[in-house]
Amino acid sequence: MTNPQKFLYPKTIDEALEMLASPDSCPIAGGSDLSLQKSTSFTTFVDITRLPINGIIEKDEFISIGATSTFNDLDHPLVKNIANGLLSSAASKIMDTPLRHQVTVGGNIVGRYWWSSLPVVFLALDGKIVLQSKEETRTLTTDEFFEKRPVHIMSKNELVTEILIPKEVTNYYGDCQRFSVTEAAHSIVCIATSFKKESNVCSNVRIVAGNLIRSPKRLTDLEEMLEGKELTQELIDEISQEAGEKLEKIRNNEIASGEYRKEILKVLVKRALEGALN
Amino acid sequence: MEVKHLQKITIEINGEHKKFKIDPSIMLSDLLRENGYFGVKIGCRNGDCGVCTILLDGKTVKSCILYAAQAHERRVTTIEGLGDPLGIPHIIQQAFAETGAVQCGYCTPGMILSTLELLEKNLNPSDQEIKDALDGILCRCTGYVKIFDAVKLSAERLRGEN
Repeated sequence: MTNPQKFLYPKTIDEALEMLASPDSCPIAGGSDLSLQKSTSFTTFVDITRLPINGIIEKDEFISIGATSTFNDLDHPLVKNIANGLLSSAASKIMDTPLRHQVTVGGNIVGRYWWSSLPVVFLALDGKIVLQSKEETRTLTTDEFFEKRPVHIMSKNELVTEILIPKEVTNYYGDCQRFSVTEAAHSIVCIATSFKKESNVCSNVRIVAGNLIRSPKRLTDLEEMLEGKELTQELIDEISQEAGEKLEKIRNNEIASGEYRKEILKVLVKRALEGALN
Repeated sequence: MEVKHLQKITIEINGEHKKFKIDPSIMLSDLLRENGYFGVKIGCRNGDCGVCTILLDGKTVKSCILYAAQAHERRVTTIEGLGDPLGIPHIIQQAFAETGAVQCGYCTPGMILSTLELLEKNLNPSDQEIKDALDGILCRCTGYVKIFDAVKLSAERLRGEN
């Protein structure tokens, strides 16, 4: 068990960043993961749930999702409009209702939980991650953010404050397919895709695999096969057969073998693309 | 021996403002039970089984994976907060009793609070919506059929029917 000695309750981002500058402090939002960790060196928990970073709003060319929005908060009209409801639908299938009230979007993308489909969907939607520290605010693409482990991307003093989804993708086709042993169980393979479809020709294609390794991974070989092409059943069959072939070895986990997960990956790619045929 | 700093927090529990001096590492489920709210059950302590479910600001959460300090200045409802203090049960509690939805009873507080959250938003839920609302609570006795009956009966009565 973790052993917090003190909780702090900042009301502003500046206050929170000041508190997080201390070497013994860490942010806590939902806390569902932090409370279950066996140990942590942090003794001061900075409760960031009172910060004004829990809203979902339109901001210039983006839809901004505050980092402390919970998974159930994604059941929001602005989010439901994005790519056939790709994001809200994916979030509604992760864990169960009480946990979705507790688990936050920011915590989930920083935690990089292997079972979560949310990072997979954010990468498929070409999202941006906004990070703030006392010194600066910077925006990373999801390609950059998920390329390396969080420890190599963020400094300890940085806080994820929002996730931006380009409004442009609102009218894209999108789908997320996941496979788990039971409906409420952790997913062992997940595919998310989004692309523009005009006169049945696909562009800006993103096909992302997840739950196979710790970070979501774009399947660029499949994206290239679809980019600029007319979507047909034959092409979908061809693309799905190639799924996972260029990925590094898919490992066995406690639920399924790597070989099995690779086969499932092909099926999910096929299903995700077939939805766009109609 | 390490001496822990005690932290002062305030929580509104079932409509009453309560002040506590807590060890910051105590979980909300333990704090509630230590203060007599025995309807909050302890099961897995992992956020899996849902028997510790309470309402935090009107939404179901699992109190075994929530630090008590996270509930500071927030509103908690436990099963003890439902019904009349004189002993008249809430409509949902009555429906659970009448339909035989309670066997060992260990999951019942979580089931009833989840039902309350659902019916406050939607008085005419579909089977799928009931299933989704109760998906965080495990019952190993009933097979859920009677629990679904109880939710439907509660909804009917709250709509003014039956």
